[in-house]
Amino acid sequence: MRFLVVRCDAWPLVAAGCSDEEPAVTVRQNRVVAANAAARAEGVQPGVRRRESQARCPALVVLDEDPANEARLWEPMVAVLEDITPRIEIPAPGVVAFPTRGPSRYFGGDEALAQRVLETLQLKTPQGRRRLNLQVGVADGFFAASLASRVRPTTGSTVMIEPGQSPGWLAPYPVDTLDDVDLAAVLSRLGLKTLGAFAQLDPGDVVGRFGQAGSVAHRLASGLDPRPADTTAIPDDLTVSAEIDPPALRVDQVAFLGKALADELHHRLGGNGMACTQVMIEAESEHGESRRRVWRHEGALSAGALSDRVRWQLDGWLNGDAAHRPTAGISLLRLVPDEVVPAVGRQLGFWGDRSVDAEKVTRAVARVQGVLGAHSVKVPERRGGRGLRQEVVAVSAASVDLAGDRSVDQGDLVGAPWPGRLPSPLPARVLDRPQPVRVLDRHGEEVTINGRGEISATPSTLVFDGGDQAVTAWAGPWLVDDRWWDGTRRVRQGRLQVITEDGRAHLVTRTRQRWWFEATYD
Amino acid sequence: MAFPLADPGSSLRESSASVAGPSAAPDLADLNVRFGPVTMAGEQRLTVRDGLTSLVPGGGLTRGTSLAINGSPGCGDGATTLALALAAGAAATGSWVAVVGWADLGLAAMQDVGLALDRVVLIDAPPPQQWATVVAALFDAFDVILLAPTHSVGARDSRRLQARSRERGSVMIRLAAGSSTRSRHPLGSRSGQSRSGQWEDGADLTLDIVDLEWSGLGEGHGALDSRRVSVSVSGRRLGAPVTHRVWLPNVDGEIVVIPPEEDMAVEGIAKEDSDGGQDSGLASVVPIRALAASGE
Repeated sequence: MRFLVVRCDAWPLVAAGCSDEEPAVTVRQNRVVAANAAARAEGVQPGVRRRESQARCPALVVLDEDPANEARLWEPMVAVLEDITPRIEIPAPGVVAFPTRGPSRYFGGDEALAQRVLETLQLKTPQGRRRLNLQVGVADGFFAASLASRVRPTTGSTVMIEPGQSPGWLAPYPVDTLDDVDLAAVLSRLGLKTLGAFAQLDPGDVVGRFGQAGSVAHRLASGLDPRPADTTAIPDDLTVSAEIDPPALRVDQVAFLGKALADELHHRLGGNGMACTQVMIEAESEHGESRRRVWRHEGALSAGALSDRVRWQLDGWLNGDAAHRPTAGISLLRLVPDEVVPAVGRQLGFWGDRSVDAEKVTRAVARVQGVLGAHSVKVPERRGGRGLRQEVVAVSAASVDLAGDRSVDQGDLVGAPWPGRLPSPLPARVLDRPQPVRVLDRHGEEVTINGRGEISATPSTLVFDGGDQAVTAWAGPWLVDDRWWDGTRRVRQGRLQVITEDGRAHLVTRTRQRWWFEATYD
Repeated sequence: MAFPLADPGSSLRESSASVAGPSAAPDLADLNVRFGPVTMAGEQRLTVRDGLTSLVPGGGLTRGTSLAINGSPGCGDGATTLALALAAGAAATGSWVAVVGWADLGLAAMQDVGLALDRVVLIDAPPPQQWATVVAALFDAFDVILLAPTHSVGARDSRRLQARSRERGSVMIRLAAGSSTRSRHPLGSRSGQSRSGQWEDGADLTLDIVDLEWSGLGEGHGALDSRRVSVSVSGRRLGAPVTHRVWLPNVDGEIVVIPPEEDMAVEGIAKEDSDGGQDSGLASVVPIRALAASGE
């Protein structure tokens, strides 16, 4: 099937509101996932570690990935394409795909269609931006079209692969483009570095050696659709829907239901030995307005991925611009599997690589997010640093795959020694905002630290707003001079460990001529 | 008139029993052996670290029970560190740990204590009216749930959560302010409200931190390196409270229970050291101050 794929360059950063001029990246688990043109010009490519990207480009703006926001802002962009074709698929935020057959004939050829798509989308450029960096790829098969939309052409912004030319055009590209890291690694070790070389293998041998996943990859590399056209009809009873009464006005209400529906759909598909690679999510308001979107995924969509897409789509609709917002609450939600494949099953790792526990945790976390909001659940992540709040930070669980192995993606610098780091044991209670405190010597004068890091007198009393405590032991000050090269973000502080008369140990710091109560060794 | 009303199925049941009865009885006994639980519910425990096994009865955290650590949470008694250390053993064997509403938790300390970070999920403090709902949702997935409510938890909520934890086999570790300590401390008295909530009912197992003593820090020299605390362990179905001495942590960063005989030896060294003054090779020891005795 011939496909047209439109891709917005570095959409995550456009969605985050970064300008094109400043180099910016988004990161997931300490790795760059999207970099804008300015960042790429500095040598920061997706896949680079966070610290390394900052080393290559010190002025880099580093943002955490926010898929929900990306999808929400992408939704109105997609909506304008509905005038061109009804069969829109969203493989990921920032990308739209649709089969060209009908629209292409209507608008007078692929070229004209691509031109029209670009013009339509540019009109919808989000506020505050001159224009979007859009690119179109047209080719036989979704994979080739998607790759074509990623290649930077010398002129214009359209890459057109003539019908029948896809296999030849794909051949010189490296196997990394298959988006299967493990397979790509094996193939390149076998000396099969390009898609062409891989495509020349006998399909039977590929299945024998690499199984179902390898077979799909082989078909993609050969310029075919991932699966032979399947004419078996999808049983009707796989559609799941729920009426919402009273109609829901908030995204999280519908999303919670979406979660239940996704679980049910998954259960039914599983019962039939099938998995879903493309799903249509349809929501209807009380006034009969409806919005449907087809979501596609190369692998099978898991229940979690499905419910994410429900949330994204509804977020885009309910919180989108006023012209397209529904005028009443959502009263119906329906999930229709659009393309199903036999579930070949993902073999679970022998040592519980994606265990049942993790699935349960993901579900429990989703429930809590439903009650308290998406960013109420966080997971600790090691970042490295010498400050108490820098070494390990809490990142929103919404941006992390809890079931995935998060221990491997630690940069070299995370574990590197950080001179000036507080020695172990570390305080178990760190105030989220340091509290002012006074440190007095035995004459009642405030203790100070001079520019050379010398303390003016022996501290004898800590004065809080709740009373004061005599100091029985102390040590320091240890000086930390962080970011001394940066005038605005420089932090210069002296740290003092103290034990007060009740036997407890605390950490106080002196910054900007004041003492701060920082942490307690609890 | 009651007799003729006996339901028509009874005769059928009788007849079937007469057929299957004699052979069914031994079968059931047989089945009971084959399918009965290998370990009884009370014996199913979550692992705790090697050094801490003597602190909890049975050498592990009994699934479906609750454990309270009393000190002044956040005020430096070591309650937080002890809670993290108790959870670390379970996390190391693959259990997930949820931490509910500890805004001030030092994340780096978590790693320092040896808690596997990729098994920990932190949840913002839910508003009091939603608190029990949120916590109840966690029992399905998390084996260890660390709770430090900022409000007072009623007996009803607490009973509900206990029942749910028994059903799911999770362990609640809850922090609460001890009765003896209420210190003049910014964390204890900030903005007029009590930082830590109270529980209206008791837990299955209660660990009271009754005194603590840091070493390593002198008058302008040294650095905090180790802490010894006394933990009094009491609970339902347990006898008189037992007091253990615990390194929290020791100079090597390990959190271990100090065997009684070793404890004597350490005391001896400490005494010698303080006699010898600051010039001895060992770090000076801060005088022991029993919090319970201070009677605040």
